[in-house]
Amino acid sequence: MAREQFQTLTEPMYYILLALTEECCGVDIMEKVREISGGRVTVGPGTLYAMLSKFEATGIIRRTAEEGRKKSYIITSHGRKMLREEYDRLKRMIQDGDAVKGR
Amino acid sequence: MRNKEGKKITYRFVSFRYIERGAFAEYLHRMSLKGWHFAGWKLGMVFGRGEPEDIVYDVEIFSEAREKDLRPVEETEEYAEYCRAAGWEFIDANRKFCVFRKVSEDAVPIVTEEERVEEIWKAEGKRLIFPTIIFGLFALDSSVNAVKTGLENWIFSDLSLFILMILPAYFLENILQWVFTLKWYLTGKKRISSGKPVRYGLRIGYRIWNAFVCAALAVLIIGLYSLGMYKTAVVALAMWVFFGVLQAAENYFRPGRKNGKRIRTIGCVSCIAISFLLLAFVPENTSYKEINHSILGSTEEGSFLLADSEEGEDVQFSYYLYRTDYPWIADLVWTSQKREDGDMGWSSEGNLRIYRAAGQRTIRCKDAVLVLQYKAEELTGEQTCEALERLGLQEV
Repeated sequence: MAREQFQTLTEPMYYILLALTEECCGVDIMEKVREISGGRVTVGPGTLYAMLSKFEATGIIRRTAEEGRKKSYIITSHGRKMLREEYDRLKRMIQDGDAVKGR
Repeated sequence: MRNKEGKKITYRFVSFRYIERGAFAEYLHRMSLKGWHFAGWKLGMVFGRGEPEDIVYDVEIFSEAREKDLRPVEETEEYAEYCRAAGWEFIDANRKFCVFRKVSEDAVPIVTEEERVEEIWKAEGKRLIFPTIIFGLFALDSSVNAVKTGLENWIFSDLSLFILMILPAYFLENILQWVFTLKWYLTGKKRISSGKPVRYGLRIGYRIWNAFVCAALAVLIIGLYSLGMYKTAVVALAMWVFFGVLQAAENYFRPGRKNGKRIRTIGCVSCIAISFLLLAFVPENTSYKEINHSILGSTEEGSFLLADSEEGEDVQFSYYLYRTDYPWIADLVWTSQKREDGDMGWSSEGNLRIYRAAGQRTIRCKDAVLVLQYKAEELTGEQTCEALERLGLQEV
């Protein structure tokens, strides 16, 4: 069901999952996404909050710690598989683009 | 007015729909420019006095809150943490509204425009679904009952007419809200895809409707009282005041979810109990006549004695009298009173239409229909004339 809902990951989804390849506190993910993307991608707090809830509900990430209102998360193996597949898909797209460019 | 800390505050009793979140944020911004800064909700919107400031507010719809949440819930507090990290200071929450002020110049938008439109569509839909179903069912039930019980049983009662009009009107108003919200949603998505801003402005029609409903309720209560329906008027007014006070108390104390549910349950039970008490103690109309009025006419129900010249004993008659200035209504009532075991005739003078059935006479008079019920063998012409005279009826 998670796979059907997240057939292809949007850019914010992709970067959030990248950020969660290491355990990270929810509120720090926004900054981490900015760092990983070199400032190109920004995720709003409302967007992030909603996505973390959906990811957790569908088993793509899991909660690792909870201190008051601050929760930490990390990607699950299922989430890693989805991330890998998305990474491979994007890589193939680039390769196809390179092939057409090279003609 | 001052708060506990001695700071000057003011209240504003303004409400917004979720679709008007932009107008809401703009309202808060305008107040800040005048030196009134939004501090939260307590009974109404509370503004604290300060220096005029160009504060940027953002009003978002938080889907995990509920319509009945009058204070931030746990999920809202967590949501606020994320927004704080992004440069938005959380001020307060009420229902699904969350109000933030921008505290960082590089604050990131809390949600994308697409997400915002989806959240508002879902929130408005959830807000409308319950009243639409309830008013739809009540409107259907009252309409079916009106058809089943017959025209004469509701057309001469202003209260019945009001109920038969107001329930479908409410249902239709909710349907219209659905339609306009759906139009806004679809237009919003189109505007987003073409790079244009979505409109979140004020909906004047909504305010006009609310004012109309309040005025209609006030007119109803005054009308009921002036028509002599004291009990109904007092009960209606008491319920309106009671619910108003209960709502005000809820808005002031802002109970959490559990306590809020308890309070509303106690409130409903109390309202029913108060209604019963009022019905028991408000004076009854002790006249033997029961009279209903409406803008289309009136009904009167009562009984009297007429002398039986042959037997020398008085005969008890009960009557239903339908008066109206509209001949077509009188004709409809006249037709509805016909029974299968009766026959049509004229009075001995040939000037009254009379429908004769066992134990009942229906007489078509000028501007009225009289139904006489009796236990005697036959109703004589003299008795008919006496009945008409007593009730002040004219012949056709």
